[in-house]
Amino acid sequence: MDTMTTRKDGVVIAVASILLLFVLFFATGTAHAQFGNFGAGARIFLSVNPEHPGPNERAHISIESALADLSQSDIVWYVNNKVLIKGVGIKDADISVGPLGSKTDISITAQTPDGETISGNTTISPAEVDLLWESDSYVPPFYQGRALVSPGTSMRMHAIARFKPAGSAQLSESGVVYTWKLNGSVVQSASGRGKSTARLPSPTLFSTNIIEVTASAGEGAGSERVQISSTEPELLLYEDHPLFGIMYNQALGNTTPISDTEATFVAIPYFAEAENPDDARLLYSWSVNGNEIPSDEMKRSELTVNASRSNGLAQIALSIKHAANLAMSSSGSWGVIFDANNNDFRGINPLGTRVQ
Amino acid sequence: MNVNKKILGYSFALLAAFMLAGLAGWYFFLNQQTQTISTIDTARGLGTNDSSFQSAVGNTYDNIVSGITSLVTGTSTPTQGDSAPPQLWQITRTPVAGMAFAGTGSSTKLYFAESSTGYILTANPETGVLDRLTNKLFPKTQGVVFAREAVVLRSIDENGDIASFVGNISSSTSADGTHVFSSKSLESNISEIVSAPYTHGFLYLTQTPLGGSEGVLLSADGTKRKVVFSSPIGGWKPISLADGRTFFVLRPADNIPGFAYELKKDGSLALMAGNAPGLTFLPNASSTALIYGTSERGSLSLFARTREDATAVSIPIKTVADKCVWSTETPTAAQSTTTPKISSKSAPIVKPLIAYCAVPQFVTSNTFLNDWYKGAIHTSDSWWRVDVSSGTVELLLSPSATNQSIDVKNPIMDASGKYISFMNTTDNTLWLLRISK
Repeated sequence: MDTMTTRKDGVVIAVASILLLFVLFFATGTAHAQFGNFGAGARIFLSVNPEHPGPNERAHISIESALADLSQSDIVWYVNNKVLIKGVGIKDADISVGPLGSKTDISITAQTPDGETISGNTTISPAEVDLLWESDSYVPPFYQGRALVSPGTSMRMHAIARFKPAGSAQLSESGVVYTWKLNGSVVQSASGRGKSTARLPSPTLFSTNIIEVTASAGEGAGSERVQISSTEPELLLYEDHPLFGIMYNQALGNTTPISDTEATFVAIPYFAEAENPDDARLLYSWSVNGNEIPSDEMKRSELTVNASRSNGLAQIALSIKHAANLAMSSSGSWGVIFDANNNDFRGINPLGTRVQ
Repeated sequence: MNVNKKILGYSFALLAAFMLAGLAGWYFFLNQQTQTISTIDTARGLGTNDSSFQSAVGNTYDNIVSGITSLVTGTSTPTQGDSAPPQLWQITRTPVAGMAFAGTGSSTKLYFAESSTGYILTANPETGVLDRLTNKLFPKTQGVVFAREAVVLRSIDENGDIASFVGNISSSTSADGTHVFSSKSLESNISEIVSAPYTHGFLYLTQTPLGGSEGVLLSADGTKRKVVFSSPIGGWKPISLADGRTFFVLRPADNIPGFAYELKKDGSLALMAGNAPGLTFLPNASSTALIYGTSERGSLSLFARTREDATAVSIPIKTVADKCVWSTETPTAAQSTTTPKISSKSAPIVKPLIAYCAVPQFVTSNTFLNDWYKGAIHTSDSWWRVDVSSGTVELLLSPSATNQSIDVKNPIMDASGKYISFMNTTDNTLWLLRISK
C-alpha cells in the first residue's frame, strides 16, 4: 500500500514536474518573444543588425525558430505589408529603414514541411542620437578647442536624441530612457529615464574607452557609440608679457628670440588633471641651462629669467608630475635667446605702419 | 694627579679639535649653500641692479605713447601722407584684442582695441586715418566684443580668472579729444561672449558648478539678463546672427566628432552639422547657407550648403571655417529662403553665395586644430574667393604677392562687402584687405 502510494506520488510529482517545465518553457518563451520581437503567438525570432538602425540606414534581419526547420520552410518577408521577398529557406534579408519619425513593420510567415504556419514580426522606429563629450581636464582661458581626456580626469557625456524629423516637436528628455554602457557594461547609476547626461571615468593610460548610449521611447530607439582614447597632458610655455599679458597665440618653440633682457614665462599643462596651472597637486621642476630652479610657491607655473648679465641661449626645461596621479606627467624644453636689440613689435612704433 | 691633569688636557685638546673641525665644516657648508643660492639667483635673474628694459620706463611705453600721441594730436595717417591705404594694410604693429566694422560706404570704420591698454581706436579704410576714441586703461586686454551700443573688454585677473567689463563710448568728448568710456564689471569666468545683433546686446556663456554651461542674453547696458540655453557640456562656441538665429558649436578637436546646433525659439536644438571630425562652422547671416570644415588625421576639408534642405558640397580648398567669412553682399536666393511665402526649393539663385577664405599653404601637423588653437603652429595663408553656389574657388591674394606670411584668424567683412579685416595669429596684429584692387 505504501509502495503504491509512493509510486502514485512519484507519478504525480513527475507529471507535475513535466507540466511545470512545460509552463515554464512557454512562459519563458512568451517573455522571450516579448523581449525579442515575437508577435502574439509567433514562433519566429527576428534579430536586427545593427540593433538600433538609424534613419535611412540599411538593416540586416535574420530569423530563427526553435520549433521548426526554417531552412526547409516556405518563407515570405513583408515590409510594411508589402512582400519583400519569398522563397524556401530565406533566413535573412536586408531592408531599408525609413526616415526619422517613420515606422517600418517587418513580418515573416513560414510554412514548415509539416504544413504548420509560424510567423514573427518586429517594428523599427529609428531615432537619431548625438553623443557629445568633453573632459574636465585643464585648458587655459580663451582656448577655442575641446578639453581632451587624460588619465585621472572625467568625461562629461551628453546624449541628444531625436525621434521625430526636424521641425516637429521632439520628446522631452524626461520621456526617454537612456542606457549608458562603458566598454560593454551597463552603467546602472548613469542609466534611466531622463538621464541624458553621464559622468564617466577617463580611459587609463594608453587605453581606449568605448561608450555607447541607447535612447528609447515607446517603439522608437536609437543608439550611438564613441571610442575615446587617452591622451597625455601637453606642456606648453608662453611668454607673460608685462604689457600684453600671457601670449597664448604664440607658444614657445625650440628656439625663440626675445627682444628684451628679462622675461616671464608661464607653463600651461593642457589636458592635465588640475583646476589651474598652480594647482597644489602639480609638482613643477624647473631648470635653466641645467641649473635647477625652485618653484615660486605662489606662482609655481611661472618662471622669470633675467639675462642682463649674460647673453646667448637660455635653455629652459620643465617637468611636471601629479602628486596623486602616477600616470600623469609631462615635460618640455625650450630655448630662449634674449636680444634687446631685436626689433619686433615690442620695440617699434605700434601704430601707423603700412605694408605696401 | 698628574694623570688626571694629562687626561683633562687631552680632553680639552680633543674638544678644541672637534670644535675647530665643526666650525670648518660649517664654513664649507655655508659657502656651498651661498654658491648654490647665487647660482639659482643668477638663473632666475635676481640680484641684478639695472632695469631690465631698454629705457627707464620700459621698451614698449614710448612706442605706445608715440603711436597714440600722434593720433590724439590730430588726424594721423599711418606713415605716408593722405593716400589711400594699400590693398593689404597692416593697421597695427602691436597686438589687438579684437575688432568690428561699423557704418557703411564712405563712413565705414574699423573699431579695434589695443591689447596692451584696452584703448579703443578706429581706422578709416578709405583714408587710412587712425583715431583713438577712449583713454580708459584696461591693461592686458585679451579680447574685445563690439555690439551696436556697447563694448565688452576681457582680460585675465590676478587669480587667473576671466574678467569682463561692459561699457559704452559716450558721444561727448573730453579735453584731450577722447570719448568717455564708462564701464562696469560683469560676472567672473564668462567663457565666451559674442554680440547679439538682434537684441543690440550680447550673448555669453558661463560655467555651471558641475562643468556645464548656461547661455545668457545680456542687455547693452549690462543690467538685464535672460538665460536662453543650458547644457551639461561647457565647451561651446556661440554664434548670434542679426536675424535672431543663434547657434552653438561644440568646441572642436582634431579627429573627434563635432556638432553644431541652432537654438530654436522653443529652446530645442536643431542639428545643423554633426558627427564631423574637427568640426568648424560658419552660418550665413542672411540665409540658411552654411560652411563647415573638418580636420582629420592632418587633412583639412571644407564643405558648404546653400540651403537648409540642400546637400553639402565639397569646396576644393583645404582650410577651416574659422578662417572664412561670408560676403556681406546679400544673394537674392538667400533672401527668398527666409520669406515664408516663397519655397526655398524653387527660389532661383540670382546672385551667387560668396565667401572668402584664408587657406594655409601647408598643413604640417596631424592635429592642426589643436596645435593652431594652442599657438603651437602658424600658417602662411593665401586668400581665396569661394562661390558657394557653384562650388568653385578663385585665388585672390597669395603670400608671394604681398611678401607677407600671415596666419589669419577672426576674419570679418564690412557691410558693403569691400573690406575684410582680420588678425594675424602669429602676433595678434590687425590687418585690412581691400577686396577690389
